[in-house]
Amino acid sequence: MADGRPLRRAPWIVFGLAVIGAMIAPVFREPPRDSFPLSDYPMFSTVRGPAYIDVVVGFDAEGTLHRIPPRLVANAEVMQAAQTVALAVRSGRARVLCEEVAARVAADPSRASIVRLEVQSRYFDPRTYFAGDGPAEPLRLLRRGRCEVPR
Amino acid sequence: MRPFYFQEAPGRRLAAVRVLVFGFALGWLVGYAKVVLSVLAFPAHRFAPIGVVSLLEAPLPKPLGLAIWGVAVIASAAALLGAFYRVAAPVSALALLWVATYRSSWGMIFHTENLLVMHALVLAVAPAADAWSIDAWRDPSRRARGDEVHARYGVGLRLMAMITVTAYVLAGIAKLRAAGGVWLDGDVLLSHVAWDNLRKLELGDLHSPIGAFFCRTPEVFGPLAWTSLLLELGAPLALLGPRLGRLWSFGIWAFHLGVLVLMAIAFVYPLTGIAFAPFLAPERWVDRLRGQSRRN
Repeated sequence: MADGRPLRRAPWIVFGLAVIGAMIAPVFREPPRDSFPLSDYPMFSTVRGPAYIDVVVGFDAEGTLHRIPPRLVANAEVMQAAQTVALAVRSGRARVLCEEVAARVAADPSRASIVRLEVQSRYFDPRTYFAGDGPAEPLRLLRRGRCEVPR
Repeated sequence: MRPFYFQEAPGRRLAAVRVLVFGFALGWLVGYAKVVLSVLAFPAHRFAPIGVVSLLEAPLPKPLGLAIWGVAVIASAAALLGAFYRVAAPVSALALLWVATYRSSWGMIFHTENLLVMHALVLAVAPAADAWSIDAWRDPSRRARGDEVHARYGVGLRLMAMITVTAYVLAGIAKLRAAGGVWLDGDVLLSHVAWDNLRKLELGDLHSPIGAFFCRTPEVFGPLAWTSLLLELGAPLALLGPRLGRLWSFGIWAFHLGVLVLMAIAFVYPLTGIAFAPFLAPERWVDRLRGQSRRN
């Protein structure tokens, strides 16, 4: 092994300790704190019981329900769309969000049949949702806001 | 006996990992641009800054956000090619940190790019452009160094491996901390697979029909839960030797494949295998390809 340039060990030791120390620090907070890129990695850790999920749904003139894809709610990312609806419900802005989404639905020719939207909180038990032949109906349903699709 | 931290490695190995990591970063920034940049148009009331973005009290003006993304793209391309590496790599890593954190500063924290950003930050301070780079091509003495086997090339790879291991151990600890031993009976895992798929269905997105099907057979989730937790909490074993490192990397890769199949969640960085490159010898793949092309 030739040695073209010496390795300075001390900076690497300090840097390594700082990086690993920073990574494990969120775990020692009470409660543990999630952030980025330093995280306590809470995904899939908590017990998931029955819960409400906030969604935007559309209805055609016959009253048939149509699901509204994430890209019309926030962006292509389903989690960002979920958070957008949840935040709107929590902050009492369900009606505002409904109208924003309605404008996007109106501009989407593939959803020309949808005449109105609702922001709903739908209550499901994840353990029974897939027990039947198709997706289950909500166990409870709260209507948080509604609006017409401008045509 | 091999040293634990200051392990020797060829300069070309570190260079190969540089190409893979900054190549992935560039692909993520460009390929995912529509999603990453869409947050620049989100309403200000949704702004919930975390990490380095906590320095801000209000969202960035759109042109500035776009400019930072542009800097990240250009610097990542330069770091990938090993051009002006001492400047390009830190700029790329910091800009990537900013862009990824900004994307998670709107109420939803994503956990898919943590390792990518941490690995890029380590590569930014490592001599990863002493081989297979424009800098080395321009500087013969640097190129000669890049052919050496030395701890200055191995220590960065070792730290990257330790970061990977730490992330998975933390994920395992989080499960035991939040749910305790109950996590091991598989019921919690089943509830997550079901919840994630039902959420996707209800939100009008693609879900995993395979995951939905397995929700009717709860008995499969016990072994899956045990395997997941063993892989996560057993991650430090991967640091004990190259074979264990490769074995664990394959196990965790298979775990992510399972997550993709059952939940339609793609952790792309681990799924490509690049997250585990510090445990492997990617320069040998290039050597093999070169050998084959010479024979042909």
